[in-house]
Amino acid sequence: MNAAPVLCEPLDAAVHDVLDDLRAHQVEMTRLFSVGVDILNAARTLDSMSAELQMLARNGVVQAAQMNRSSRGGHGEGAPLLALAGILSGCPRRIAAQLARLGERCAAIASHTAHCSGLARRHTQHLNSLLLVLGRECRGAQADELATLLRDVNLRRPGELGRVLARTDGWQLPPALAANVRMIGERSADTARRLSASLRQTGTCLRETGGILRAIERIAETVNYLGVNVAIEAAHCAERGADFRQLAREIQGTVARFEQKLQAIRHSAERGRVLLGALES
Amino acid sequence: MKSSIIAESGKLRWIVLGRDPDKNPHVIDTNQYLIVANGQGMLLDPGGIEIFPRVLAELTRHLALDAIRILFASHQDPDIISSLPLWLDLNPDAVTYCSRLWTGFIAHFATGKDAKMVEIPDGGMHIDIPGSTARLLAVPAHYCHSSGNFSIFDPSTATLFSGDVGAALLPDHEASLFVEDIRDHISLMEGFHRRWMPSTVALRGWVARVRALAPKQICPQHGAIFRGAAVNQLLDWLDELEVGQWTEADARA
Repeated sequence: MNAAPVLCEPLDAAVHDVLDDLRAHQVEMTRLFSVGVDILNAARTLDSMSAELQMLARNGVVQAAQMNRSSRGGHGEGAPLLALAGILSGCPRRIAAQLARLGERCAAIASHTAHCSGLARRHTQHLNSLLLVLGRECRGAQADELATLLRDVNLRRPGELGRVLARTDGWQLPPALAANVRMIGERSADTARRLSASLRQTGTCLRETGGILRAIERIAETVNYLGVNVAIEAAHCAERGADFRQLAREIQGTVARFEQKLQAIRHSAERGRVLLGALES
Repeated sequence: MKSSIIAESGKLRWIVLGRDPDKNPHVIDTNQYLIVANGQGMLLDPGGIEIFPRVLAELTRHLALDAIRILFASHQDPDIISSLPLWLDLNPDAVTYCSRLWTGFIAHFATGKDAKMVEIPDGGMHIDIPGSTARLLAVPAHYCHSSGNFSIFDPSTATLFSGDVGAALLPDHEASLFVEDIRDHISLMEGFHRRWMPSTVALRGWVARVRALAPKQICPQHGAIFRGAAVNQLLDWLDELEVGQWTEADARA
């Protein structure tokens, strides 16, 4: 039976370090995926809050219209509230459009990061195979050279593997084995390139998410401002304004929860950007 | 990971890859078998993701990687075939054969939309290794232990890959590659078979089919290989064994 190869100590240590680094890379990639899923889930809860706002705004329009009709000549105390409720009812639609964009980006982040996580695992396993073969086949000083080189390269990066394979060109491996080494090397390099491309796409989506979040924040500020104005107008309407004061409180409460969720998404996106920066470094 | 040629006939040879001293101790030891026919390869139960790097590294000694034509999965378990996407990354043209029951399940190992899968019908089929004259037979082994399960028989060397039938939980990676004393070996097989094999009727049927093929060598996915007298000793033992015993007391416990 062909014996299992035993690597010399410095090479064994270098190979272990490379593999530990690749496994850490894989774990970071999985963390990035979980960030993508966090953002996606938070974005989904915003949808239901947006629907809540829509409902509140519609109620406001109906109540203000009734108040307006019941006042003298149809131009009484309900008119400002009707105008405010009208403006308010347009906001959730604007939020919904931005949320649809956010949902698309979040789904893309989750998908890209899931893909990255799978690719990182494959990259690690293929490189592990390659290092086992090279460790098994190197002789004498070649082992020390390989150990030194492995300490110098960053195999997370596409292209770095080429330096290792170039060094083994002079080893005079049997042609069939050399072809196998080349093939595993090419597949690993290809996986590293795909991984890198997928990370770039994740980065693009994260940046776009930031822009969309700012747009939603601006609309939420408007909604909050309108809620305050509804409360002020309602205060002028004595007991007839009680329903509007309640409406204003509900609007402000929903906006506050909305902003908390936006804050959570911003926080997750920032974590994603930091992780991504580390992964691409 | 070690490897050894266990059968040869003309341009065809069987190689076992296993007995890995470096594997994670939590991972059950597995035997992977490679059939190389005229330079073209068929890998039987390629193994799990965890051991993939060492199987691949060892396989590079025996076969050009772009000549892996067929991946065969005796059934759907993770120790059998969870490495499938990694093999397909290396060689997207490889064709995967498994029971018709499991193709949709195995696809959950993320094989990609272009994976070439052949569903083996319940009655079995012949499998030809492209670029060679080798013709293998997928022998039904349903409920031994999986509900869609196949063994592989090679008439040219009379070698049978039996999957989990004849499997043994060996004490360590230094254990002999071949069964030396069937009585000692039974103690390593018995618990496994009683619990993992659900049907005595199915096991008897498998033994009858295998006897008709008259194998000279039976190669399980775990444990040691049976050859010479040990082949019939294994079949005789299996013919007497009652499996799938789950008493009412067990069920209520």
